[in-house]
Amino acid sequence: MQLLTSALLVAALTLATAELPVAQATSTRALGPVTAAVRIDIFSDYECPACKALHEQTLKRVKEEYASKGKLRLVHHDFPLQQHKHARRAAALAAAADRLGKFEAVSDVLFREQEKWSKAGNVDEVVDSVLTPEERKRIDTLANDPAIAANIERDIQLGQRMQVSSTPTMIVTHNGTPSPVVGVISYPVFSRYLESLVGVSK
Amino acid sequence: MVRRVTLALRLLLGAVFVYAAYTKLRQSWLLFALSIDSYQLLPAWAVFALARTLPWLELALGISLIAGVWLRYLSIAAAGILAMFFTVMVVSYFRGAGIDCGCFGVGEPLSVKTLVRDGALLAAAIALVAYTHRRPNPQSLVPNP
Repeated sequence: MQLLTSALLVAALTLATAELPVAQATSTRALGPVTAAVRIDIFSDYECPACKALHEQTLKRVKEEYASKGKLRLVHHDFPLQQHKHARRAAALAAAADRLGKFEAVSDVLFREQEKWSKAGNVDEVVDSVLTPEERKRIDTLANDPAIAANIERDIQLGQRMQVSSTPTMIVTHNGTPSPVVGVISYPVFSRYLESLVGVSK
Repeated sequence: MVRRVTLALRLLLGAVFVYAAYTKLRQSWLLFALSIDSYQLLPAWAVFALARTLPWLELALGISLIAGVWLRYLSIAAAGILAMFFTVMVVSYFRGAGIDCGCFGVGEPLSVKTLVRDGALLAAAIALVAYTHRRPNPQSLVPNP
């Protein structure tokens, strides 16, 4: 039964990213080879302080040390929580920035300036600070594209199917077995865990 | 009556500790290390040390409680460990940390349910300490004429 559930969850994750629209084919929301034996699906909310901590303390280094070197695949999923008023707009702007090739820069600034925009609500202004004038003109139209809202909704539904109840939650899949990792994990502990998986990958 | 309650309490706590150990030992110790680390209370070296040793300590404690050996001391150890777990869980819950409990392997969020369960186990352990340290009734020591 547990095996069947695991298989279904892995299939859901694989399908979820395989169905990405053509416009997102060059997306940096997913980093690392599709064929990697280790895959991390991160469900995150730009307005959640724990997500900021995980992004800045751990995930940036995981990207550099593992995903960029092809050792694993890291996939970002939006999971804006209802209690966070501006999280959905932030997710839409980040997804729009992805279409401009600026996902990384916008994600970084959203987390870095989280305290500021989550109180003031000026999320658009914060995002604009890392864009060129030309990109600023386009991002609003892109962020209001219904396809982006639909993608965020799909990410939320995927998270719910994966029993994600809080953010940040990482689903680490290795050899077809998904393991949920919830909360802020420090880089030294997480990298030791990843080394144990990467080292024994079939 | 006292003997029956003591027996029930030590069997209950012993079984819980053995089960908790089993759920941790059947998976990679590093997954348990991730659960401990998510509480954000210990440096990495202490996280690794605890993740490697705690399940074995729980197993030994559980088996000893079921066997009923050194009950006066082990009941205190059980209450101490459960008090530590309960404190850490309450602090983390009210700090708003959306993390896994880590009590019985991965995948169980820290919630009111887990706090109530751990609180009840702590109460049971304190009751066991009280029963095992109870002074015998002086009347019962007086030999019948």
